[in-house]
Amino acid sequence: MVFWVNQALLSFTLLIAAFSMWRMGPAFKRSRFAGPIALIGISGLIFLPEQPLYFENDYHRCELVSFCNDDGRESYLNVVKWSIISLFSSIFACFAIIKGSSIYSERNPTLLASGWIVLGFSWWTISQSPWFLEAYTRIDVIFWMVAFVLGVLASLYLFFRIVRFTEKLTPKDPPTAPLDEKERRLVTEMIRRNLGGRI
Amino acid sequence: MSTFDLLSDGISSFGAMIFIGLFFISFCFSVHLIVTWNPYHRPIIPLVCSILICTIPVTLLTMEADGSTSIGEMLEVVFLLTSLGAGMILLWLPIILSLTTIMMFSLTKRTPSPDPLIEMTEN
Repeated sequence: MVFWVNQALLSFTLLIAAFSMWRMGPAFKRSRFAGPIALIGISGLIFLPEQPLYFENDYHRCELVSFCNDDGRESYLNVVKWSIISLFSSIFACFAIIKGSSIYSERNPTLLASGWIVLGFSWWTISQSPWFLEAYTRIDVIFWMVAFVLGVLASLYLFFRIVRFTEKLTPKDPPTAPLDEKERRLVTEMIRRNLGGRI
Repeated sequence: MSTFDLLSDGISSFGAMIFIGLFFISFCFSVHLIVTWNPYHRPIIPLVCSILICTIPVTLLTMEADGSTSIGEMLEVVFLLTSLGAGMILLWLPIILSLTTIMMFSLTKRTPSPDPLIEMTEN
């Protein structure tokens, strides 16, 4: 049986991969795989394998790793389930409110009301997650959150510099040669046919 | 043996959290570059850098006294760091959702303009 830590890591990686493929846009064929890969990733996160038994190979690893016991697995699963419910309900609610309001089309009160109900549900799920309450009442966790954002900003700046460096290494194209007589006549004819002007 | 707790388990200092943010974005960036591989984007240098940022600290963290390390232990550390990173992002969820709720409230109250083009030019 696959060790649950490995499955959770693989499933999370699949979720990131699915998001990246989805953001590639409709012009790329790979974006069509985003949905199925995301479903596999979410399924892998929810349906984690059981804790290894004492005669299985991975059992000894849980003696060394602190988060790898039964309580750790249950706690991780609990956080994942509540987070998925909160995230999906809030995304669905925002989508319904945007579609139901009068931005792009006529106002749809039924869709709007259902969006607000789901948004209320998503706030309820957040209020039911004990770790949110614990986090926002601890000053050290607030500092960690700020530190994490600083790390994210530092990494974004670092990758910005790396991409700029890579772009500078890219050899520049030589200046384009001017059109010859045949090409000039072709372009003139195309413009004349499309614009109908006298050139 | 303690339980898995995103708020108190493992790494908990200010500098370590900055490192986790760096690791988490590097991990996501390397996965992104691999699955959206396009040679015209010249992804080799960014990919190598992001993989190095991920693997060097993980290797150092799992290295034994004799210099040896194992893939299993490295995966466990990667799992711990990515879980902490995802958990930190989730902790921002109530703040993000409260801002989103305010935006949704203004969208709900908004009445359609008779001429959106004129409104856009005036703004």
